[in-house]
Amino acid sequence: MEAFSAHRLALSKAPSVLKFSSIELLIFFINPSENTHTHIMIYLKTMLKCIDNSGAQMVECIKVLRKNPKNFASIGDKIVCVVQKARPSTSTITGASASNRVKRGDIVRAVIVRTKKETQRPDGSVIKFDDNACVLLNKNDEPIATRIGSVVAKELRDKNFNKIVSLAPKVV
Amino acid sequence: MLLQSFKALRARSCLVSTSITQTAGYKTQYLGQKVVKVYQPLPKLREGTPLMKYVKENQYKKLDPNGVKKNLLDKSNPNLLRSGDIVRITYNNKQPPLVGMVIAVKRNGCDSNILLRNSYAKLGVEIRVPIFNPVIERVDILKRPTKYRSRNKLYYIRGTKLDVTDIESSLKKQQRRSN
Repeated sequence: MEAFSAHRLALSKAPSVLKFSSIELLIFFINPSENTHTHIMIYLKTMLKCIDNSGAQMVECIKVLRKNPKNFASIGDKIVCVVQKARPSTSTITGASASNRVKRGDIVRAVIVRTKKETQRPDGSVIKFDDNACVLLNKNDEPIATRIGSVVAKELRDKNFNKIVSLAPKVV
Repeated sequence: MLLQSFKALRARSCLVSTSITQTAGYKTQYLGQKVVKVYQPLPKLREGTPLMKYVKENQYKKLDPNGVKKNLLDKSNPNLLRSGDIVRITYNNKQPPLVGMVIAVKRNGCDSNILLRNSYAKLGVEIRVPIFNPVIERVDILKRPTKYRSRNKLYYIRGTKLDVTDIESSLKKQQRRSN
């Protein structure tokens, strides 16, 4: 009788645990105590900053290329993302930057340039940034934009994104 | 006289142990003498220093021959590295020097490291540097705070008004003023 009731109890508890998906649980465990709401790791649904002049401000990751769903993107990895927030287009912008502009709802490729998750370097030092950021790419893995706003990580040079490194104002 | 008494003792012991069947030439434990060969003691390894101490000393000797880096972490040193200091790390390869505020010092022998925080255009960047790395030439303390905070780990300053500002530009401004 006692064993039966214990079994019932376990069953009643089970659904409450199953409510969370694995990703939600992960976020719960690694939830930063800081006031920022950025994910620590980059996977499906992660919102990233876009730091180039393509017009996109915030993008949402929908696929990390060449990785399984359990894995996450690190610096130099390519992702597919949706533009969720874009700067309003004005008629004053002309030239190459005008033709390469993206709108809200566009599906584009991007490369990760900064992560909040710490990455280890071959010399033993570990680097982490305060946010996740990306730069939009075209089909040939070249940046769409002509300018890059802020800091990028040094690892991009090893992954053949030399153009991004040379455009960036600061490489850490 | 002595020999006689010994013989008598032996005979008595034989008498006592008659209950046990004996074969010729069998020696009872009582009378049998066990000879243990004793050797000269071996010379002490590492002149008697404990193994781990010896290993650590050798690591320090190899990675930090001058003892400068070890001295920075030594708590008895009045000029030790503390969290709150602004330091510059210079490398002996082509890597540019690194400037930042120390948020945490982790003491772990030759694996000791410091956590540097800096901000570039309001973006916080944190780098954990193992200071006994042979690539690191020197660690200079550029600036000490007027008053140290009451914690050794300053993780709580992230994203608050106590957070670090752009250190490199502020140092440049200071230099201009002094010139």
